[in-house]
Amino acid sequence: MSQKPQEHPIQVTVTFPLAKKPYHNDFDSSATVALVRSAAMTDFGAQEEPSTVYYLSHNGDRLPDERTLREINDHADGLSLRLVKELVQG
Amino acid sequence: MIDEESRLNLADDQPLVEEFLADFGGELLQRSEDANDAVYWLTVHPRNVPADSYVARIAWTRYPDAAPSVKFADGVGGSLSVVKAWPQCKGYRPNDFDICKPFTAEGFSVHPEWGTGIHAWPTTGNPFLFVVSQIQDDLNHSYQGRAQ
Repeated sequence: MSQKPQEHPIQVTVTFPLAKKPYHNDFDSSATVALVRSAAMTDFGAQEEPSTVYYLSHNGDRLPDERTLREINDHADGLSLRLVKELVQG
Repeated sequence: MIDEESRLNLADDQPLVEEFLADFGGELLQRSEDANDAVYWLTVHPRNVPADSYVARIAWTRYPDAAPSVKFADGVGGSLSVVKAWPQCKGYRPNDFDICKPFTAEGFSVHPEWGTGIHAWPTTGNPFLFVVSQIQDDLNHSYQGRAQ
Protein backbone atom coordinates (compact mmCIF):
# COMPACT_ATOMS: atom_id res chain seq x y z
CA MET A 1 0.00 0.00 0.00
CA SER A 2 1.50 3.30 -1.02
CA GLN A 3 1.44 6.21 1.33
CA LYS A 4 0.92 9.78 0.31
CA PRO A 5 4.26 11.60 0.71
CA GLN A 6 4.33 13.88 3.71
CA GLU A 7 4.20 17.54 2.81
CA HIS A 8 6.64 19.84 4.52
CA PRO A 9 5.71 23.26 5.81
CA ILE A 10 6.20 26.07 3.34
CA GLN A 11 8.51 28.92 4.25
CA VAL A 12 6.63 32.10 3.48
CA THR A 13 8.04 35.60 3.20
CA VAL A 14 5.71 38.57 2.88
CA THR A 15 7.00 42.04 2.04
CA PHE A 16 5.12 45.28 2.53
CA PRO A 17 6.48 48.65 1.40
CA LEU A 18 5.37 50.39 4.56
CA ALA A 19 6.99 47.87 6.93
CA LYS A 20 10.56 48.09 8.17
CA LYS A 21 11.24 44.39 7.52
CA PRO A 22 9.57 41.40 5.84
CA TYR A 23 7.39 38.88 7.65
CA HIS A 24 8.67 35.30 7.74
CA ASN A 25 6.87 32.19 8.93
CA ASP A 26 6.26 28.54 8.09
CA PHE A 27 2.76 27.45 7.09
CA ASP A 28 1.17 24.12 6.24
CA SER A 29 0.62 23.76 2.52
CA SER A 30 -3.12 23.61 3.22
CA ALA A 31 -3.09 27.09 4.75
CA THR A 32 -5.13 29.65 2.85
CA VAL A 33 -3.98 32.97 1.49
CA ALA A 34 -6.41 34.60 3.92
CA LEU A 35 -4.61 33.02 6.88
CA VAL A 36 -1.21 34.21 5.70
CA ARG A 37 -2.50 37.66 4.87
CA SER A 38 -4.07 38.01 8.31
CA ALA A 39 -0.88 36.89 10.06
CA ALA A 40 1.28 39.21 7.97
CA MET A 41 -1.02 42.18 8.51
CA THR A 42 -0.90 41.60 12.26
CA ASP A 43 2.89 41.52 12.14
CA PHE A 44 2.99 44.70 10.07
CA GLY A 45 0.44 46.46 12.28
CA ALA A 46 -1.84 46.91 9.27
CA GLN A 47 -5.58 46.90 9.84
CA GLU A 48 -8.58 46.50 7.59
CA GLU A 49 -9.98 49.95 6.92
CA PRO A 50 -13.08 51.29 5.18
CA SER A 51 -12.46 52.03 1.49
CA THR A 52 -9.09 50.27 1.57
CA VAL A 53 -8.46 46.69 0.50
CA TYR A 54 -5.47 44.57 1.38
CA TYR A 55 -4.50 41.56 -0.70
CA LEU A 56 -1.50 39.33 -1.32
CA SER A 57 0.28 39.34 -4.65
CA HIS A 58 2.54 36.71 -6.20
CA ASN A 59 4.50 37.50 -9.36
CA GLY A 60 2.10 40.35 -9.98
CA ASP A 61 -1.01 38.19 -9.64
CA ARG A 62 -3.64 39.11 -7.12
CA LEU A 63 -4.25 36.04 -4.96
CA PRO A 64 -7.79 35.12 -3.93
CA ASP A 65 -8.12 34.66 -0.18
CA GLU A 66 -9.50 31.13 -0.54
CA ARG A 67 -6.52 29.76 -2.46
CA THR A 68 -4.16 27.44 -0.59
CA LEU A 69 -0.39 27.76 -0.46
CA ARG A 70 -0.12 24.32 -2.09
CA GLU A 71 -1.78 25.75 -5.19
CA ILE A 72 0.63 28.64 -5.59
CA ASN A 73 3.93 27.41 -4.19
CA ASP A 74 6.29 27.29 -7.17
CA HIS A 75 9.68 27.25 -5.53
CA ALA A 76 11.33 24.67 -3.31
CA ASP A 77 13.03 27.38 -1.28
CA GLY A 78 9.78 28.96 -0.20
CA LEU A 79 7.12 31.36 -1.24
CA SER A 80 7.59 35.12 -1.62
CA LEU A 81 4.47 37.23 -1.46
CA ARG A 82 3.76 40.92 -1.38
CA LEU A 83 1.09 42.60 0.73
CA VAL A 84 -0.68 45.26 -1.31
CA LYS A 85 -2.71 48.11 0.11
CA GLU A 86 -5.18 49.10 -2.58
CA LEU A 87 -6.14 52.73 -2.09
CA VAL A 88 -9.43 54.45 -2.77
CA GLN A 89 -9.72 56.87 -5.64
CA GLY A 90 -10.86 60.42 -5.21
CA MET B 1 16.44 72.12 -3.90
CA ILE B 2 15.76 69.18 -1.64
CA ASP B 3 17.41 68.99 1.78
CA GLU B 4 20.36 66.70 2.40
CA GLU B 5 18.54 64.40 4.83
CA SER B 6 15.80 63.76 2.28
CA ARG B 7 18.40 63.06 -0.37
CA LEU B 8 20.11 60.48 1.85
CA ASN B 9 16.80 58.86 2.78
CA LEU B 10 15.88 58.55 -0.90
CA ALA B 11 19.24 57.00 -1.69
CA ASP B 12 18.66 54.40 1.05
CA ASP B 13 15.26 53.43 -0.32
CA GLN B 14 16.02 53.58 -4.04
CA PRO B 15 17.59 50.07 -4.45
CA LEU B 16 14.42 48.25 -3.39
CA VAL B 17 12.44 50.40 -5.82
CA GLU B 18 14.74 49.41 -8.67
CA GLU B 19 14.58 45.75 -7.66
CA PHE B 20 10.79 45.86 -7.60
CA LEU B 21 10.58 47.54 -11.00
CA ALA B 22 12.93 45.04 -12.60
CA ASP B 23 10.39 42.28 -11.91
CA PHE B 24 7.96 44.10 -14.20
CA GLY B 25 10.41 45.32 -16.84
CA GLY B 26 10.39 48.85 -15.45
CA GLU B 27 13.21 51.29 -14.81
CA LEU B 28 14.01 54.22 -12.56
CA LEU B 29 16.17 57.07 -13.83
CA GLN B 30 17.47 60.19 -12.15
CA ARG B 31 19.07 62.65 -14.54
CA SER B 32 22.04 64.61 -13.23
CA GLU B 33 20.20 67.89 -13.83
CA ASP B 34 17.32 66.68 -11.66
CA ALA B 35 19.37 65.47 -8.69
CA ASN B 36 19.10 68.69 -6.69
CA ASP B 37 15.34 68.59 -7.00
CA ALA B 38 14.90 64.86 -6.21
CA VAL B 39 13.09 64.25 -9.48
CA TYR B 40 12.92 60.67 -10.78
CA TRP B 41 11.66 59.34 -14.10
CA LEU B 42 9.88 56.03 -13.89
CA THR B 43 9.34 53.85 -16.97
CA VAL B 44 6.59 51.30 -16.39
CA HIS B 45 4.56 48.78 -18.37
CA PRO B 46 1.20 47.16 -17.63
CA ARG B 47 1.94 43.52 -16.82
CA ASN B 48 -0.62 42.23 -19.31
CA VAL B 49 0.28 44.72 -22.06
CA PRO B 50 4.07 44.94 -21.84
CA ALA B 51 4.32 46.71 -25.20
CA ASP B 52 2.59 49.74 -23.68
CA SER B 53 5.12 52.01 -22.04
CA TYR B 54 4.58 54.99 -19.74
CA VAL B 55 6.95 57.49 -18.17
CA ALA B 56 6.01 58.99 -14.83
CA ARG B 57 7.81 61.90 -13.23
CA ILE B 58 8.05 61.54 -9.46
CA ALA B 59 9.14 64.75 -7.73
CA TRP B 60 9.83 64.76 -4.00
CA THR B 61 9.97 67.88 -1.85
CA ARG B 62 10.69 66.23 1.51
CA TYR B 63 11.34 62.55 2.04
CA PRO B 64 9.76 60.64 3.61
CA ASP B 65 7.63 63.39 5.14
CA ALA B 66 5.55 64.48 2.14
CA ALA B 67 3.85 62.75 -0.78
CA PRO B 68 5.51 63.38 -4.14
CA SER B 69 4.05 64.98 -7.22
CA VAL B 70 3.35 62.22 -9.74
CA LYS B 71 2.65 63.09 -13.36
CA PHE B 72 3.03 61.22 -16.62
CA ALA B 73 5.24 62.66 -19.35
CA ASP B 74 5.69 62.01 -23.06
CA GLY B 75 9.21 60.77 -22.37
CA VAL B 76 12.02 61.18 -19.86
CA GLY B 77 12.34 64.92 -19.34
CA GLY B 78 9.33 65.45 -21.57
CA SER B 79 6.12 67.45 -21.39
CA LEU B 80 3.80 66.89 -18.41
CA SER B 81 0.73 68.16 -20.24
CA VAL B 82 0.12 65.48 -22.87
CA VAL B 83 -3.11 63.54 -22.32
CA LYS B 84 -1.90 60.60 -24.41
CA ALA B 85 1.05 60.16 -22.06
CA TRP B 86 -1.35 58.95 -19.39
CA PRO B 87 -2.69 55.45 -18.79
CA GLN B 88 -6.34 55.00 -18.00
CA CYS B 89 -6.56 53.51 -14.50
CA LYS B 90 -8.93 53.96 -11.59
CA GLY B 91 -8.32 57.35 -10.00
CA TYR B 92 -6.06 58.59 -12.82
CA ARG B 93 -7.37 61.78 -14.45
CA PRO B 94 -5.48 62.39 -17.71
CA ASN B 95 -7.43 65.54 -18.54
CA ASP B 96 -6.52 67.05 -15.17
CA PHE B 97 -2.97 65.64 -15.28
CA ASP B 98 -3.23 64.12 -11.84
CA ILE B 99 -3.72 60.92 -9.89
CA CYS B 100 -6.49 61.44 -7.39
CA LYS B 101 -5.41 58.86 -4.83
CA PRO B 102 -3.78 59.23 -1.41
CA PHE B 103 -0.22 58.67 -2.53
CA THR B 104 0.36 61.83 -4.57
CA ALA B 105 0.73 65.49 -3.68
CA GLU B 106 -1.99 66.20 -6.23
CA GLY B 107 -4.39 63.77 -4.52
CA PHE B 108 -3.81 65.30 -1.10
CA SER B 109 -4.30 68.77 -2.60
CA VAL B 110 -7.68 67.84 -4.06
CA HIS B 111 -8.66 65.98 -0.89
CA PRO B 112 -7.24 67.80 2.14
CA GLU B 113 -9.36 65.54 4.34
CA TRP B 114 -6.94 62.73 3.43
CA GLY B 115 -4.29 64.54 5.42
CA THR B 116 -5.37 62.81 8.61
CA GLY B 117 -6.89 59.44 9.44
CA ILE B 118 -6.66 56.23 7.46
CA HIS B 119 -5.52 57.91 4.24
CA ALA B 120 -2.80 60.04 5.80
CA TRP B 121 0.55 59.95 4.03
CA PRO B 122 2.65 57.08 5.47
CA THR B 123 6.21 57.77 6.56
CA THR B 124 7.20 54.29 7.76
CA GLY B 125 9.07 51.64 5.82
CA ASN B 126 9.85 52.63 2.23
CA PRO B 127 7.34 55.24 0.98
CA PHE B 128 9.23 55.51 -2.33
CA LEU B 129 8.52 51.82 -2.94
CA PHE B 130 4.96 52.36 -1.75
CA VAL B 131 4.37 55.01 -4.44
CA VAL B 132 6.02 53.04 -7.23
CA SER B 133 4.23 49.81 -6.31
CA GLN B 134 0.91 51.66 -6.27
CA ILE B 135 1.51 52.81 -9.84
CA GLN B 136 2.63 49.36 -10.99
CA ASP B 137 -0.29 47.63 -9.27
CA ASP B 138 -2.73 50.10 -10.83
CA LEU B 139 -1.27 49.30 -14.25
CA ASN B 140 -1.43 45.58 -13.51
CA HIS B 141 -4.99 45.48 -12.25
CA SER B 142 -7.04 48.45 -13.48
CA TYR B 143 -5.39 49.44 -16.77
CA GLN B 144 -7.86 50.26 -19.54
CA GLY B 145 -5.57 51.46 -22.28
CA ARG B 146 -3.94 54.74 -23.22
CA ALA B 147 -5.82 57.98 -22.62
CA GLN B 148 -7.01 59.75 -25.76
